Amino acid sequence: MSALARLLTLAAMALAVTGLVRLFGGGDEHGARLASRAAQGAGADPVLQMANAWMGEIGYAPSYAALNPYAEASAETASSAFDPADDYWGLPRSEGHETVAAYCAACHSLQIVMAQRQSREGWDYLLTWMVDKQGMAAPAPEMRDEMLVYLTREFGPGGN
Amino acid sequence: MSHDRTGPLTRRALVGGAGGAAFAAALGLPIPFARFLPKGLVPVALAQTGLEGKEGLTVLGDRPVNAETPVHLLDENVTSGAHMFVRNNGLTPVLSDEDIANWTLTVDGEVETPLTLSIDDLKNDFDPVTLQLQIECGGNGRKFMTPAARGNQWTFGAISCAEWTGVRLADILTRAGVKPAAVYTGHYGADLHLSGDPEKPPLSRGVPLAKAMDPHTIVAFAMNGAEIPLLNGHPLRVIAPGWPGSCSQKWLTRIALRDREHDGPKMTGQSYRVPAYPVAPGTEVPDADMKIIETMPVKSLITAPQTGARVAAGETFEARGHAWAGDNEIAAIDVSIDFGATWAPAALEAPANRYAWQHWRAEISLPDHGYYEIWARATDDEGRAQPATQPGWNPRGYLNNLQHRIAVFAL
Repeated sequence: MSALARLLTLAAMALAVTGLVRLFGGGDEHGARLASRAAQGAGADPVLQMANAWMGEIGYAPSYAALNPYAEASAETASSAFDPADDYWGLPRSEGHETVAAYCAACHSLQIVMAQRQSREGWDYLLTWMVDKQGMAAPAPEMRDEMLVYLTREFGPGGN
Repeated sequence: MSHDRTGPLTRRALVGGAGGAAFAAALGLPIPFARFLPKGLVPVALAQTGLEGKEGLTVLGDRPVNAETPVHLLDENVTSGAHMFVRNNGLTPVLSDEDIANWTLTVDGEVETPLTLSIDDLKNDFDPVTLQLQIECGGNGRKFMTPAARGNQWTFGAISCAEWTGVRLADILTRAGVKPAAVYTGHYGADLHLSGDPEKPPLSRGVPLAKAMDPHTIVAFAMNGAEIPLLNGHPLRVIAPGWPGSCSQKWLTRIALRDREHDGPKMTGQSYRVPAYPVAPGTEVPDADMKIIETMPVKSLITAPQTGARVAAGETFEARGHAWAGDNEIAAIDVSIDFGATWAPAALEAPANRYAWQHWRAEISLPDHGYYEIWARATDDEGRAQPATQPGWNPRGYLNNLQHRIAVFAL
C-alpha cells in the first residue's frame, strides 16, 4: 500500500472512530482502544479491509438491499436509473420508450415504473387497471402491445 | 385550494421542448389530462433537493410524493416530523392560510345529526387526547417479496410513531349519533387524483365501526405539539393506529358512516387486501378471494448502531430499536449475532400507551474480529414472532414483517 493510501485509510478510520465515540457517549476508553487497534491494523487487518470494501448490501441476499440505508430503491437496476433531468427520465432507450414515457408520465413519475419487476401478465394487469380505474386514455392495440413488450423486456421479473 | 401538478415540493426547470408533455406532444402521442400539465415544465433532481421539512429520506417518487426513512434515522423514541415517512396516492393539496382557517370536517351518512365542525370546534367542544401512535404503510417491506409485487418498493422505513393530539373519533361520532345501521366509516381528504380529475378521489378508505369507536382512533390536528407537517396531512387527519396507514386519511374533510363495508377507491379489488387463504408465491388471486387487511403484524427495527458500523471486538456496545405489533403488544424481543443460530433476549420497555411502539436495547459484545450481522426478532403477546424470510406471499406485497438485520464489523 502506498504511503498516500495508508494515510487516507487512517484518516477514514479516524473519522469512523469519531462517529463511534459520539455514538457511545464520547471520550471513553472504548473509542480510544478501537482507534488504536484500527491504526495498528490499517493496511494489514483483513476485517478492516472487509469493512472498507463493504458496499452496504448483503451479498448473499440480493433482494435484501436495505442494509445500506441510502441504497436506491432499486439499486440492482443502476443501469437504468431514474433521471429526472433526462428527456425520458432515464428510461432505457429501446423500441417503445417514447410511448411508455408519454402514457405513464402523463400522471405519475416514471420512478415507480422503473422500480417494478413484472411479467407481461403483471404489466398487462397494470395497464388494464390504469385504464379502467385510474383514468388513463386507452392506448390503441398496437401501442399497448409496444408498451407491454418494452416493459417486459426492460422491467421484467428477471431484473437487470 | 389548489393542487401542485408535479409534486408540491419539487423544484422545476424550463427544459424547452425536451421533457415530458412537450416531447410527447411533439411525437403526436395522446396525453391523458394534458390540460393539467404545465407544458415544458418537469420536476428536476428531487433526489438532490430533497423534500422540504424532511431530512435524509429516500425518495421513491415525486408524483405522487413517496419517501421512506432510512432505519437509523428512526432512532428517536418519538418520530419527528423531519423523519416521518411520506406516502401519497394523489397530489398533495397546496393550502392557503384561508383554506386552513376555513377548514371543516363533515360527518354524515348513517348518523342522527350530520355535523360540520371547524378545527376550533374540535379543539373547544371535545376532550383533547394526546397519544403516541404508530402508523405503518401496509406495503412496508414490499421490496423483499419474491416474486416482486407491484407498487412502491418500500424497504423498512414506512413506519413512524409520533405523538398526536386530537379528539377521539368515537366522541365525534357519538355527538352526531350513530344509527344502528352504521357498520363502517368512509374517509375523504383534500388530495387530488393524479389524473387531475377533481371528481375522482385518489383514495378513500375506512374502518369497521368498532375500530372507529376505539378510544385510540383519533382525528388529529397536532403532531409532537406542533402543526402536522403538510406532507403528513396538515391541518387534520385520522389516526387509526396499528392498521395500514391508508386508514388514517390525510387532509381530512369528511367522514361518512356507511351501512356496508366502504367501497371507496383503494378499498376494493386487490388494494390493501391479502388472500383469504395462503397462496403459493406468484399466484394470481381472484378479487373475490381477497380480504381487507386490518391489524398490521409484529415487527421490529434495529435503529442503532447504523448498519456498517465498526466496533471493537470483545467490547460491549449497545444495540437498540423499536418494536410494534399492530393491535397487539410486544411480549419479547430477541437478538442474534450469529445469523439466527442462537438468540438472546433484549430489554423491552412497556409502550407509552397502547398503540405506541416499544423501545428495546441490548448490550452486545462480538467475540472475535470479523463480519457480523445483528438480527432482531420481536414476538407479540399472542406468541407470533417475525420470520427470517418473507411471510406469506401476497399479490400486492403487503404485511412483510421479516426480521431486520444490520451489518457490524468487529475490528
